[in-house]
Amino acid sequence: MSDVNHDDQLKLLPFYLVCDVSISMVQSGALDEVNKILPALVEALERNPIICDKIRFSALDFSDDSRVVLPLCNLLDEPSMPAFEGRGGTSYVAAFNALRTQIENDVNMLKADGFLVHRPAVFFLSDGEPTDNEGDWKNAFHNLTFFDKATTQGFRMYPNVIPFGLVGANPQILQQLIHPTQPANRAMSMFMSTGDERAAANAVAEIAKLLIQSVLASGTGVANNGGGIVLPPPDPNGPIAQLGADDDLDDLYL
Amino acid sequence: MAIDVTRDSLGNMDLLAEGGQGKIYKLTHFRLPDCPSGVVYKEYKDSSKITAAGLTGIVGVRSRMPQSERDLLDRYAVWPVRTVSKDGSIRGILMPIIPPNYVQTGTKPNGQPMRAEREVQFLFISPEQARRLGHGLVNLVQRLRICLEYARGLEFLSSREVVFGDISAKNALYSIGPSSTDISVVMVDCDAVRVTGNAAAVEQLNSPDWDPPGTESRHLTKATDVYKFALFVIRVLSPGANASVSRNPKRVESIFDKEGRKLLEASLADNSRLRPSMQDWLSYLEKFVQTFPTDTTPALRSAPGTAATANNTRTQTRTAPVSATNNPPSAATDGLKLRKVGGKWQWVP
Repeated sequence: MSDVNHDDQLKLLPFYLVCDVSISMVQSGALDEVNKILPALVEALERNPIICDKIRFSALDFSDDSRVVLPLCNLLDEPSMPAFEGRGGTSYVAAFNALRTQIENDVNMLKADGFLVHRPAVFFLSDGEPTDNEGDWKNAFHNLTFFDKATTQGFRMYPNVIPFGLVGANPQILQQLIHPTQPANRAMSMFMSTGDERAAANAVAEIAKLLIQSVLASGTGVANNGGGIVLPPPDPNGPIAQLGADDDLDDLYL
Repeated sequence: MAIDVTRDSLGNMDLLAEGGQGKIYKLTHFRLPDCPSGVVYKEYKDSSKITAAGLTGIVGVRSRMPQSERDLLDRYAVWPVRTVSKDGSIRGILMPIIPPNYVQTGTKPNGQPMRAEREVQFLFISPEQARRLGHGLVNLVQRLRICLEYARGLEFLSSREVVFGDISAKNALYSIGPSSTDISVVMVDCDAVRVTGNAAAVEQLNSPDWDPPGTESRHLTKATDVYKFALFVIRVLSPGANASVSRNPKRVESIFDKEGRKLLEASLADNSRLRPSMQDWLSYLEKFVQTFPTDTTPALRSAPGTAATANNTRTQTRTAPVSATNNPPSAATDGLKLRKVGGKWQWVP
């Protein structure tokens, strides 16, 4: 009798790129750079196709409302990549509500297909302050991220959220979107552009590198019971700074 | 044969790639008589993380071999050929350039040019996806021959008390063509191998999804090489969704006979003492491959994927070869099916 347990436990890590498409993103040229992220990610995955056995990717935009730009998928199975198109304002409420609905649907779908699902990872990219009331966006973010394990109250499928801020975004607000912030070994970070608005495109290019490295490293690390998302450090001489939830924002801009 | 050269003697070099461990440089003028195709230089980022004696030992495995054996080693592995020193300490190694037949070049179906080392990971994904990425279709018989050639290389190392260690989706390259029997596999990233009874020069790691059972993951041995080779066999013979992470021999059970199924099962045993040797695998595959046609054979249309659909590999119909420039097409065998006739696999109308 063999002592081998051959059951394949297939685990997937879903990623969501949630991108601000307000008019300022168009005016700064940032959105043009954002539209290079998905093709560059596909190119990286083409060199490492087996990572697609472990990750899925989706993209949502948000302005006054939020739309699914790319439904959750294996990127290498997609014949072409959709583009983000600019419009309207900056409603974080729309983004968080759409994301919650989407994550719930996607995770249930993957589980019904027999997959084990890692906690989703959200790359949240914005260049502006929310146009919603403070109480409203905070409430929507709470609905997306709060879960009490003891009472099972809240959203059990809450994602890890990694905010990316371009010039125009309020770092104090984005810092509140880092989730979770504890315990230390599971705490996420945010990434802020340190340049001015002329450097928006460069900053997005650097963000793209970080995002791709994160997807590749996380996808690789999903094996061996890895915990999911891996955040690589940015180039210390580059246009992006990495900050934790407790870091002093006064150090961000000199 | 001197097994060490000084860094100053290498001359001009161009950066080819940078990884976690170090940088790889192409040497534009430096030549070695025993590597006529040229060498590359791998310089470690942190020489405190390498064991000089270990690297010398790896290079010594090759330099001590008689010419005939060295030729075989060079066929099976991109083996470190010299250590490189500066100020009396070892900074890196020289390795032969990877032969061009292990590099896929050409045009992807979408018209984009492509160049990619033929890492065995491209055998784990679905043939349709591999084709979209610009790689050629590889049929079941060719896949079995790839297993055979990999077993040949690993057995060569094992019989010389060398543990490869980090068998993975990227640490072996394959080549096919121009004829159906023209199939070879070469092991790369060989600086983390070790000779039994000796520590490795560079920490031996398990790539994700290739870890052996339990505490074995901390001490890689000839037995863990056998375990990982069994994973390779499963993954290369059942390409498609999730093959790259599968450890389930049921995916390929309909391909093998009883002896092969037992060999595969035993190779995956948690108890390393129950595992067969690479010699057992080599003997079996040499015999088993003979039961398949030796002529050029049709390409595998789709992934067996599961035990149920693996049965379909016996009746795969041919698909058109891809247009990648250095991927020779299969012979014209349109409409033929692979069937077992009188105990032998044959292409039949």
